[in-house]
Amino acid sequence: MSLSPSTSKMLSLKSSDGKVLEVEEHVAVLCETIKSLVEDGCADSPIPLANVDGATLGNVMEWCKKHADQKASADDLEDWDAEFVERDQGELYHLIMAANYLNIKGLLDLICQKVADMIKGKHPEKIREIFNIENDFTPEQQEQIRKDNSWAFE
Amino acid sequence: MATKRIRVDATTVPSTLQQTSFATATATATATAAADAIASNDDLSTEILRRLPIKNLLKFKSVSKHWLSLISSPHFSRLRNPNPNSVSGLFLELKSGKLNPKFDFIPLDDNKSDITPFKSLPFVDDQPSITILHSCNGLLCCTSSVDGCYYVYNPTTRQYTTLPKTINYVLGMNLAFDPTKSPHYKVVCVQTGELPRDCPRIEIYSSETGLWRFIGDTFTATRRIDLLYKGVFWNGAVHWVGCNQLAILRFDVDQEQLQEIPMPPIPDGFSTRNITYFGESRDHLYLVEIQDICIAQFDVYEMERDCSGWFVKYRVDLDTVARAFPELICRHQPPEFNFYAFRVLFIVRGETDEDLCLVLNMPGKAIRYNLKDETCKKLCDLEGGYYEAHQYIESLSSV
Repeated sequence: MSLSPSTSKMLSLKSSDGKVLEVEEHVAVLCETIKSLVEDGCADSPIPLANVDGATLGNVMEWCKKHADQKASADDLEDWDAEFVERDQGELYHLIMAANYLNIKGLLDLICQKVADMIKGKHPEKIREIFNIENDFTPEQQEQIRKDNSWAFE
Repeated sequence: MATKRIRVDATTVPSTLQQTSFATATATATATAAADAIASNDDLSTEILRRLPIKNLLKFKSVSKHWLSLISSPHFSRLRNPNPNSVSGLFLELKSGKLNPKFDFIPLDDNKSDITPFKSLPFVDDQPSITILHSCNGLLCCTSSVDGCYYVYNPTTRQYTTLPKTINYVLGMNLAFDPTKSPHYKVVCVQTGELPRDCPRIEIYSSETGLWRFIGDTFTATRRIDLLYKGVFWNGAVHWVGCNQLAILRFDVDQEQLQEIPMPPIPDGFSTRNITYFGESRDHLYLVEIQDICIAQFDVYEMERDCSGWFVKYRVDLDTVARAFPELICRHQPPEFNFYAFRVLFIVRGETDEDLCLVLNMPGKAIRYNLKDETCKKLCDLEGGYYEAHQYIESLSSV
């Protein structure tokens, strides 16, 4: 095994469902949460990530690996990101939760933009369904909001 | 696999899904749980919502009481439009002298395609009589010549409020609104005094209290405003061109004090003033004086941040524009009578300090002249007439 200076130290990350992932440190530290643990010397082995399941952690690290790659150009990353967000809603929501918990701004921005594009133009009823939100307005209140913003409902 | 089981609300799952395998149902359950978690986390909901077009946001106010309060909050409004003075277009008001002003909209921000163009102020019944008095960080102050009412209008959300009536004759009305400092706005109104020979007085309306309040004697016989020029809000104060263009009068809205700022020097060879543009863009105050329309050069002045005086920001050479648009020069015989046929409609500051554009009205069209890279671009065709420009700034601020 070569010991070139570019060889990064490995970190073990343990998901909420008990899966352990070996990740290069320079990739894992794209997560600000992990970065501060490493910097403070508090990185246990493995680092327990109680809020991220194994499948999502795998996806997150795939994104981090690509974005830690110094050779990737901005155009290249943009194309890659566009493909990365092509997944089902459930996976996207898990990625948002994970990106928030691990504090990865770039990934959070990317997925939030994707979800915003997905819900753009949808009917409020559909939004309630997607986010499991209860409609707590009375019909009169509902009508008032429609009236106040009538042009948006046209 | 230690997947957490979440109760799935049968009403939110299409019936076909209920019959699918256990694994799919579990995946749907965790997806619902994740969606739930996002919806109950205000920071994450806000992160998604702030990326939506305005029209969607207004519609999504009807999703739930919680979403209504999230989208209506000043905090959200600041996040959605972090630069409260970044202009995305200009309202052009054709002042034809007739009762009905005509509006045109010129988009300036090429990245924003979802702006709804605006050709009228549709919020009151007597809309033909509506005119814009002042545009300030997303809100417009308007008045109707028919009923004499004054309005504060948000052209982004299309919501408006009618201001309570004032007692005296109104000489000028300006908004004082800085959403980075407060979600509330004030309206500064210059009125005639109680008797015709009295000095004008200032009355201030606060959106927080909903009341007008007189300020003590502010104007004196020597400190009067030139009513040909509209007031401009910049740096916490309303600025007016003083009578005979001798000084700028600055009224600090918080301190409620009036102060004089000197004018730039009168250009060599002239004895009187001819201020042709006085306006604000992205928190910078600009002034242009054009003495002779046969001369190709003029200066764009900018006010020092501490209000100590003016400095020349750019020296404009119209011959650069005339190379792209020869019709800028109105030709005569003999050529000594040639002149430059234009008006400065607006000075638009970009994101960086040097990034400054002039929006010029010339025969038949409006153009943008970028002073930094000296490029010209036609913005739109315009019929003849005298236009007044007001900036359009996207804002969710409530009126």
